[in-house]
Amino acid sequence: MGIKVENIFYTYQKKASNSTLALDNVSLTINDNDFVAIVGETGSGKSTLVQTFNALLVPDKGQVKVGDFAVNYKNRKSKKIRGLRKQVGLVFQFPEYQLFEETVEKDVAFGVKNFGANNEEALASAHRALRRVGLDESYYTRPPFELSGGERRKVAIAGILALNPDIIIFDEPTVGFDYSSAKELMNLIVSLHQSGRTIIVVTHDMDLVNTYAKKVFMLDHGKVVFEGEPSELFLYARENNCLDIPKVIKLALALKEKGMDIDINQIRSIDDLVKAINNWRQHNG
Amino acid sequence: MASTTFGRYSFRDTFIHRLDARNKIFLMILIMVGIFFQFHLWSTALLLSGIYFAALIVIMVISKVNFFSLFKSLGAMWFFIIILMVIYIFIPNDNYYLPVAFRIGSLEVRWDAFCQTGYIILRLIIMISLTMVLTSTTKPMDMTNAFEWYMLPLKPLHFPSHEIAMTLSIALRFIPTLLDETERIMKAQASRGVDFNHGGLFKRMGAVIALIIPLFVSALERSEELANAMIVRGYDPSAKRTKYRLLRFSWRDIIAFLLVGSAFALIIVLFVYDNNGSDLDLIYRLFQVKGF
Repeated sequence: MGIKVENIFYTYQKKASNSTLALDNVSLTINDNDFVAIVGETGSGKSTLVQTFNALLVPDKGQVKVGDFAVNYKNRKSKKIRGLRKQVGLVFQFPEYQLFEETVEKDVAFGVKNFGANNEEALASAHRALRRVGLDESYYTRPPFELSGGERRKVAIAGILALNPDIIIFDEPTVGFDYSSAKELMNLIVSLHQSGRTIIVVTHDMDLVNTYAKKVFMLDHGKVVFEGEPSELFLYARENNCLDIPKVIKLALALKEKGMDIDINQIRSIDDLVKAINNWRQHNG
Repeated sequence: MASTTFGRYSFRDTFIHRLDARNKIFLMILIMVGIFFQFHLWSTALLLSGIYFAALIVIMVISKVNFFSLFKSLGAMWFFIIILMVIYIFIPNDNYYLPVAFRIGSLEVRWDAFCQTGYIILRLIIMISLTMVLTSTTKPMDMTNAFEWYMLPLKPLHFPSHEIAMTLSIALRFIPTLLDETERIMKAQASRGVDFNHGGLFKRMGAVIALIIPLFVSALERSEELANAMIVRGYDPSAKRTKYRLLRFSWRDIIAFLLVGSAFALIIVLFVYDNNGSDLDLIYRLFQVKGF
């Protein structure tokens, strides 16, 4: 399932004197089974934009088409919005703060039950989702508040996976995580992508963008200022002196400037750069 | 939720903003006591409520407090109005003297029930609005300093006046943060299919639990972090303190005090001469003229 954003505008505190235009005529297309990153500085409108994808925020003007349903001002009270939220899962930043049930399995099953499943179906979905995030049976009946921060986040993510959404949006998924936990989580996101889901990641982590994203949108003051592949984004960022370009890309660009023939599009990790350097050395003696 | 401006301090340079916080708190309490005098005659009661309301509007205009945010925040009172109406209709009161409006079986519902509901609601709206004016025009720090000042006489009794004032100031400081947190949790739970606006009583209670528990957990974690942050920066609750901003009475405070004080004295005079029989009540007479 894809998303088509058509000329949307969104303003916070519309009638107040301190109103803020968060989205300013944004248009973009996310195709089915894309792995998209949305980047930009704090306050650029990233989180606002993704919240329009499952109608948590409804654009003041324009519309967001998700499958057959159009999120727009006219449809803001439509009963189909709940169904949309099942199809478009949104994992918020620090999702662990939304846990409230007595046990892990109950918390994960909570959303499934909200969408009409009976207790047994909900628990079965919850167990599947928990296994998927790497939490085994020993966690099922434990109170979520006794778990570590990383485990709690996994439980919260399982709560969204249990709904089996077609599109999953992660808002800053790795923030506050150590390297191995972040990598583990990103592996999970990649496996979700490989199983056919559309993945949208809102992030400041350019290493993450470089390693995983197939397409990037950059927002600035509520406008889309860049759309393309990660390697193109880094060239754009270097020209415009914005974003923190990954060190591996900085090195690759420096080597390229010194005359080494390196295809930046192929550099996603240090291993890729080493391979490119070795290739260059072979061809150039 | 983010658009909620009700009661948040807004920086303006008005007569009421410049009043001393201690004076504002005292005058607000005085007005509230005045508002809570129960008048026997409906004409006096409703007329006074109208005068209070007019005065409130004048105060709001002078202090440049947003009217619309007040009415938005009163939206939830409809439920309360209905409950009050039901209570006053079904609980008999010997003091009611207006004619019967209608009968439900053997139960006579008098016009007094409606007057009483209107009277209570008006007074509540005025009280909420006054509190809003106070918090919108007084810096939270000035407010807590004022509370601390009022608690000073209790200090020799080892009453923790500074600690209470500090707790109050932190609580006030965190209201906007908690509102933002509430909005964030509501959105997160809405993504899991929680509907906060529709459904029966049990469904809504479930939705509220899904909001309240994470909010409490996050507030408790935040408070622990804040307490630790204060300790590592050397905060000592028992230390003797000086103040950067001193509260001072000015000519404005004297004017405000004289105005509210005279109004309060007038209300007491009216209250003393209130219980002189229903024949004096204009509303009662109006019903008689109309032939009810």
